[in-house]
Amino acid sequence: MSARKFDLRHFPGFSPVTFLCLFLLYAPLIIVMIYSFNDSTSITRWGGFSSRWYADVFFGLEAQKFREAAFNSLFIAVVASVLSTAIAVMAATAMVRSGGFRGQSLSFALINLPLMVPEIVTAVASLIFFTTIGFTSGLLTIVVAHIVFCIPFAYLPIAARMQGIDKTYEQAAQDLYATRFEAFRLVLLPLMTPGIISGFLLAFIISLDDFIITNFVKGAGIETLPTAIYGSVRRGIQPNIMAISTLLLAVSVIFVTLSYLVGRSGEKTQ
Amino acid sequence: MAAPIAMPTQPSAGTYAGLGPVLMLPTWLVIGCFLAVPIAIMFIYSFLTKEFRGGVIWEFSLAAYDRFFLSRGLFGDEVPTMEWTYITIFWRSIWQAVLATLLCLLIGFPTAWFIATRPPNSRSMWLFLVTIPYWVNLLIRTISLKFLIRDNGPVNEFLMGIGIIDGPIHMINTDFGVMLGLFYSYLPFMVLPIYASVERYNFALSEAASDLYATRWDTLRLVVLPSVKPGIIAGCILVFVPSLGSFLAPNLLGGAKNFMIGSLIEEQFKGTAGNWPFGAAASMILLSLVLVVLLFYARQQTKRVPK
Amino acid sequence: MAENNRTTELAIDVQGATKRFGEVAALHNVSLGIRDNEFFTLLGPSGCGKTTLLRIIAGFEDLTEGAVLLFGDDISKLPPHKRSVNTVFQQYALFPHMNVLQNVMFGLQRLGKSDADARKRAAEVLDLVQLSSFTERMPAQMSGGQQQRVALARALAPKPKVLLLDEPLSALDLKLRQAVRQELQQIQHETGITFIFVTHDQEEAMTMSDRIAVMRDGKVQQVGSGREIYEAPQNRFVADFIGETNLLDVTVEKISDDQAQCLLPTGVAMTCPAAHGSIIGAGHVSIRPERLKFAVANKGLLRGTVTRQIYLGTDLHVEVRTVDGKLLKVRVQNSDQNFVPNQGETVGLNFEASAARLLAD
Repeated sequence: MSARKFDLRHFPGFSPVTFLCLFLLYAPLIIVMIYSFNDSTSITRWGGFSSRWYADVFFGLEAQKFREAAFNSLFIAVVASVLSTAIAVMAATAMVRSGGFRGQSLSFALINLPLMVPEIVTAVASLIFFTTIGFTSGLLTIVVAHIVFCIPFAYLPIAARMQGIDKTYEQAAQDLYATRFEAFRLVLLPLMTPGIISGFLLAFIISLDDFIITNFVKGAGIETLPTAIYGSVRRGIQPNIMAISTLLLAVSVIFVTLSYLVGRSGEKTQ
Repeated sequence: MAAPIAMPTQPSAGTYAGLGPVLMLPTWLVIGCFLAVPIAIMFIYSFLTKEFRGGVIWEFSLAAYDRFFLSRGLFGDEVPTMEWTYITIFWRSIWQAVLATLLCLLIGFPTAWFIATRPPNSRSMWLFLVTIPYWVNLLIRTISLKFLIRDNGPVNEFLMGIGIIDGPIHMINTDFGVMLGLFYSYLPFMVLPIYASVERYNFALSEAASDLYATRWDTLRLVVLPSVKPGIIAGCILVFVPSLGSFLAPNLLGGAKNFMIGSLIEEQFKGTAGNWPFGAAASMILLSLVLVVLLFYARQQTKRVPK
Repeated sequence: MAENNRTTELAIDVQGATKRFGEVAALHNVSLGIRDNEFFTLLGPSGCGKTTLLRIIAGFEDLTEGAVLLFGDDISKLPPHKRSVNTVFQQYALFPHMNVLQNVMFGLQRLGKSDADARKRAAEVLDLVQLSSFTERMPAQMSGGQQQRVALARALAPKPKVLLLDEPLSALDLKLRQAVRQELQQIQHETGITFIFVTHDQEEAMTMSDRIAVMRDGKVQQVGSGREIYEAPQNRFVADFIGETNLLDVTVEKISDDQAQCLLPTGVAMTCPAAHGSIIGAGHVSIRPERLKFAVANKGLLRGTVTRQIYLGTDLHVEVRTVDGKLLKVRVQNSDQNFVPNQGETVGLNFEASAARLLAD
């Protein structure tokens, strides 16, 4: 019989910590999910299983407010992610496929800028900017602010994917009399689709989830889902908040899973 | 976050040579116009005079920075002395961020190691599991944590229920609660870079160390950690920087007593009690702190260029 | 650690070692005795199990069945850091964040040696590999050959009872390899430590070793000195793996006292030495190309037509196809005295019966 193998990759205590880590990460979310089905108006007592709060979200007193907020969030997210993805595709093409250009490192810094600046600073700067140039706060200011920070998130998977595509495909296309634009449209773009979709989904979720920046630039009249939730939570956590949170949670998870699966399937076809 | 986007490694012989600047134009416009320029304007704002209804008067003044660092007494007529209030807030934020980073490191390193030593095809699944919570709205995550650790929340109820404690552990509205919130918000950012480093680690080095009579823990201390250092540093930066400027965790989990930079800044822009130049000044100071950290990191990176 | 005793005790005694990875057996009931102060080589093609066996001795793999004894002590269940055995890794595995001196001192420090002792010993061993002036260098700043010597010094510093070397020369270029082979042999003689060397290069094995174990598919085919293995191969694999050989199909009529009476395909009978375990009936006889001599066509034990001649400078390599279709290789020294047939010519081939050998398979 063999001795217990002395595995150099194994450190005692590391796997318990890992499971603790996963537990800590998921516990709060799972608890909220469970309590969103709590059949009790108090959030502290468990009153049985019920979906009344989901009904409340869609049909209750605050339903109108949340519905509007959700619509705003969706609209902003769609616009921001579409535009930021388009911009990111162009940026990625420039950075990865244009063989270097003057100002490339500065461009690289610029793409990273939204990620390096703390969110609150971005929020403040955006607010100040819009006030200074006299832009009235509203949907438009939110969309613009979102596009800014969505670009790097869309850029990441797109550039990664583009890096992985052999440039000989485009060269073959050009050899067969395609113009550069045709090579881009008919060869590169289709091959990049998984990356583009991934980037789009990521940007979408980032936009949907944003709170701080949105809160600063939205002005008084508009609410997005996160800002509406925050406003509600300031007064104490209500059960219907947990229902909304769970819904939002589900949407996020679905989108990220999709993004991941799309990214993976793309790798397989490489 | 420090630049997780890597500079493209091989500028492929440009299929689209010459189009670079054109293609970058939209990015330059958008990020330049709506982030770089606003930051510049914010910088200017920090040197303007506060309008008493909120907003600013375009008149140069050092009042904002003055207020931050110096105290001139209640009526502004005393000899200036160091104003510690705001520096304390910054200092506390730095400290909270450091603690949160350490906690993330303590839990994140074993997790990253564990995942990196799983069979190759299951690794991305583990990583995915660790990162999914990050993609859930930060607000919701913070709210759920708040819900969990309240005095009459599930955790305290559970612990009292099984008799470990008699009264609730007071976690909400404490520094501990805030630190927990920061830890919870940014943990995946510690795990991912460390994972990347461990994945690239050459296990023959562990074998060599073991061959030379090092115990498991010796090997970890003397061989593994130095090799994995870049990932650890990256992870620490990725947790520290957002924690520093964090707003939601201190706001929802801390209380009035746990004011952090994020809350301080936010307050300046609420309604008529705010002080925009002061808020701008505080933001500039925060931004400078972050840039210092990032510069330090960048220097580290370039020093490590292998021969 | 005790000084190496030059005893007749076995340094490493592998007993019935079997190692399975899932369904696949990398080692199958391997038993080997490696003597003290020996330069012992494990030789074989890739996948034969030689590296697995080495790693089992080092402690990086555990045995599915069997045991490993180090000077009589069973170390089968000990983790690597409890075995007085050190390894020179194929890719050196030098700690990249430590300089040469720190690398070499590593093992000594783990064993609790004082700083002064460790430094002294490290200096000794660096002197042995001629790297005394390199103490402050980092591994990345050194050539492959230098790194290899550091790896050797690092493994020798703790005075192990046995030194394991996992194809340490494979990353070096030819000239360097030859120089290092000599150095390794010298070091082994000077230190008296048992070396267990793994390689797939048979010339290397022959040059350096006291004894060689030829392995294939997880089993030991033959153990012996270079001369024994070459001149008296046990089976077809060994005969063909070491150097080149011709295999003749024969019918074995009788075996007695390690001599076999066989019938060649041409019908001629001969008596030649037989390998242990040979059987009556259909068999193979091995004759080295340099033992075949050309003769007049009808005066040879074998007969065939010259199909190819390859000029190799010192030798001439001639291929002859026999009447029954077999391709024989003949090696003739390039000298005026030797009779070399022309292409297409029909020739006879002769050999001394004592130079032929009946194989066990």
